[in-house]
Amino acid sequence: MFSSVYSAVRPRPLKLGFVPLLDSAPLAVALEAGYFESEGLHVELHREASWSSIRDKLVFGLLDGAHMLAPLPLACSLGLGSVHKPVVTSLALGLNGNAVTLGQPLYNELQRLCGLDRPGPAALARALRQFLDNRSSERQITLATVFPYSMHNYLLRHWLSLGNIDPDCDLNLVVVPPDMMVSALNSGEVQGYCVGEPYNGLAVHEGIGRIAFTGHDLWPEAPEKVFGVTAQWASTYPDTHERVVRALLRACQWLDDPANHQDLGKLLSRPDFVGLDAETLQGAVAQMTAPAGSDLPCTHKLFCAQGGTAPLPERMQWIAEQMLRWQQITQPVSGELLGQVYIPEPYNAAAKSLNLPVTGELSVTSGPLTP
Amino acid sequence: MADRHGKVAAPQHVLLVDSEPARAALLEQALKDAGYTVDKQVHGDRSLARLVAESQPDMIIIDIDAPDRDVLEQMTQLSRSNPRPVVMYADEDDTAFVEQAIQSGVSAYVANGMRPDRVKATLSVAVARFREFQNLRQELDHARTELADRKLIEKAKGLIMTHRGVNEDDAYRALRKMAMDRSCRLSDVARNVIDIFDITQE
Repeated sequence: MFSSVYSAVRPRPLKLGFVPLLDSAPLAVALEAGYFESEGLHVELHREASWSSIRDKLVFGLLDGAHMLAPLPLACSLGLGSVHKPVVTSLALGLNGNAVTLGQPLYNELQRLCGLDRPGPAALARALRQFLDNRSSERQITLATVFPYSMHNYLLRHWLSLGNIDPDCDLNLVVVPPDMMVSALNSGEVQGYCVGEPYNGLAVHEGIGRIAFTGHDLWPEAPEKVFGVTAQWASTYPDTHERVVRALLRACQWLDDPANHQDLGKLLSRPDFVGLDAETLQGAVAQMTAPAGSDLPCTHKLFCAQGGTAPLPERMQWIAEQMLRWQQITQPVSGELLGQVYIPEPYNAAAKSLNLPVTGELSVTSGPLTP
Repeated sequence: MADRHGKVAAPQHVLLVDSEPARAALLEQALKDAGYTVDKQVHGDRSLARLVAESQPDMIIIDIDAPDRDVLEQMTQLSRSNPRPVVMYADEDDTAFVEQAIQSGVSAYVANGMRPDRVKATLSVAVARFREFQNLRQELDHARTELADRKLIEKAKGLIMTHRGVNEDDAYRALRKMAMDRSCRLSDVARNVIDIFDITQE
């Protein structure tokens, strides 16, 4: 057998997948700023069209690692919607960044029912309940998220439950790919959605929707995306894993510095990254730290700050509870399984070398809004 | 149509979603030849959810890079109220086969009740056609490059002939020698020659 020194470094180029969204930025930045290179890694980034594609290519070895929805490693490890293959994460790719956008007519009606100029999430949910009770039967409400195992889905469902709305009976929940959200809203196929930027701001720009509230209004410091690899890969290449995590961690630090935000929009607009026009992306980047006008609230998108990169079990526990609550699973997820999916070691080793707090020194201070 | 057990099976209905029209046509024909009925969508202009509801397929074959795939993931969750497709990759013993499918760009969803052997047979047809298409495209790309290369070489040869007053054979030999000395491709040398003449003419 080779000693671990030789076997630990992945020989061929690493293939890392991402879905073209603002929060895939750590991968693009790590590549462009040379953080992967300074770890001795040769990385190829692969732009993927869907979360299904990310998952399938990862679990069948066509990708080494990927930008993924925070609930996805657990879903894969439970065999939900796919082959049962353990996927792990040791690095979160930041917090917050989602918002709920409602079509202008629905928003106006809810605003009127609330009697408030700027109703918060709970008031809006109660108004929606009232709206559903009063509507004529042919007026079905359909709301969209991006994937069944996503924070978008769980946040939207949680919001509805604040108004005592059963998302599986009282309205339709569907999946629409992020870049088709605005057109689905425009065509009337859906009346609202929960998605990451820039697809909320785009609806506002086109004058067809209103950002009802941000994910941060519902749960400040909510998990969002993670970097996932298969359990098998993590145990075969622990050294490479730590190097990838460190490179991405440095990219997340870079992303939290507003001085870099001017470059970020330009970088992401490249067709091999997010590929939308630079102005739209620059707007979404600006919204990460401040409102960009009265209808474009701050999304509080954080990458490294507030322990946003740490694989903290408390955040993941909520995801496991949502899977049970919304009947995606029938048995509670054991603490043992959670411990297998969210592994702290590569993160802690990388964090220590960058003088960042390790998981044991961090705690979660906020949770989702309760009724 | 009789199956392995001699029973007459109803024709299976396949929904084919692929943005590559030539590939979709290739697979559609193969599936029809194998006795399937086929609905095909090559432009993503109709809602996939509505299409599935209308088409009621036994199996959906969809390009792995289609952005619409996540829509199907949601539908697999709704089976409580409605018989909907379930994800294909259930046959966990055969990961090599699934890997092959993914590599050639095929993903598939099957309705509850479709027999595993039929699923695999159908998927094999799809994988074979997707591969065939991949090869065709590679050959076409190759042919295009070859044609472009030949044009470059012709142009470089012509330039050398006019500017140096040599015949065609000598011009070609000069190009070939340069390529061999620098161990690079003839077409690359030709491109350099053209560039240099372009600059000196300005």
